[in-house]
Amino acid sequence: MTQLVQLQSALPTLHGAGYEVYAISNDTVERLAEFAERHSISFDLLADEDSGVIRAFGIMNTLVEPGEGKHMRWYGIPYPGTFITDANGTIVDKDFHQHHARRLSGPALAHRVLGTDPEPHRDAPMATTADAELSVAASLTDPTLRLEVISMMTVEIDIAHGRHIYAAGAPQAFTPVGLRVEGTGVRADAPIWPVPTALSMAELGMEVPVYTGKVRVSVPVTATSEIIRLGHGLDYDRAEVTITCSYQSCDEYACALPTTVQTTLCVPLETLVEPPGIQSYADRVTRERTKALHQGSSRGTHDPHD
Amino acid sequence: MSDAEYYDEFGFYSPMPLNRAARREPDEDFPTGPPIGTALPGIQLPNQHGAVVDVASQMGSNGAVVVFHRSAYW
Repeated sequence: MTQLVQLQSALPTLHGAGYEVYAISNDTVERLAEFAERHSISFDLLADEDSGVIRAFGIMNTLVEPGEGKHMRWYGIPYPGTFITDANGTIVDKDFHQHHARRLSGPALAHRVLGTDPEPHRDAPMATTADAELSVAASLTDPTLRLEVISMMTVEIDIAHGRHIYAAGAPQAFTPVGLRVEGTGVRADAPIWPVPTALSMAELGMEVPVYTGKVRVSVPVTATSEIIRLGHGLDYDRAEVTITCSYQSCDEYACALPTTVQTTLCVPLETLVEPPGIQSYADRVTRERTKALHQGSSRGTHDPHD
Repeated sequence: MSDAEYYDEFGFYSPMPLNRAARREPDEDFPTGPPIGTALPGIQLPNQHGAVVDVASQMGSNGAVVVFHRSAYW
């Protein structure tokens, strides 16, 4: 649901870049019509009711047994994922995740399709820090973080004029730049670094990978169930994401000692566009849990009426 | 007392028991369909208005984004 609604938001960008958008599921035409109406979806939602196309793609979820959860149409669902093609229909990229809840946010997918560097969303929070050698500005492609929806964090490192920092692959004597992104209930994948430039070091007789000027790093981040539980609304209103940049900078004469700078990005959390019924499931789980807790404490105090 | 039985091996919480079809996750090497560099298989399916769409004949000037999802309602 969230994914289709976010795709609708990304539609002007994708259409503007010359991409048609299609979404396929084993839903019936009637269900898709109702959903499209309710959420103002204007792109094609395709109904693969007998899962013929899903099977032809070889992505039918075989963990679901025939006849299982019939009224919810569990049998015949695909492993969720996205294909990106060129104008001739050749697949140029695809994005699948092992966990069904994980998917790129609308803006993150748009950047992936267009092959552009992720840009901060205009309503996204920003955190900055600086020392004499560089400054760091962190933001997101989305204004909020949502459960298992992958947003791209943009980290811009601006290195002081005349200085360079070392990239991965530099000789052991130099400390390469590193980024650590962490926070309670936040999962960050490996940072995506741009290609460094090669600095010729005559005295070492070698070329060393370095960054100079502005360096834009992208880090996939998402909120996890540690801070948002499906169907339970928001237990917390924001996540705190700490960004630590460790580096060593030099100019053409001398190197400074390795050091770190750190900043914290406070990101508002947002619930998913949830399927109907999930909240009543969640309420039932809470009731059962409360009941079990109550029974547990009664036993603990040896209630004479027990 | 905890609701630990609702958290899967990935730490994902959903108020559905883990033995339900909804909670089963594939192995890491699950199928992801035709590889990059190959042709997108043919897709002719009805859309939400009941009109049959042939994806190959309605590509954008740069291509298409084709999303397979669990359900509009999920």
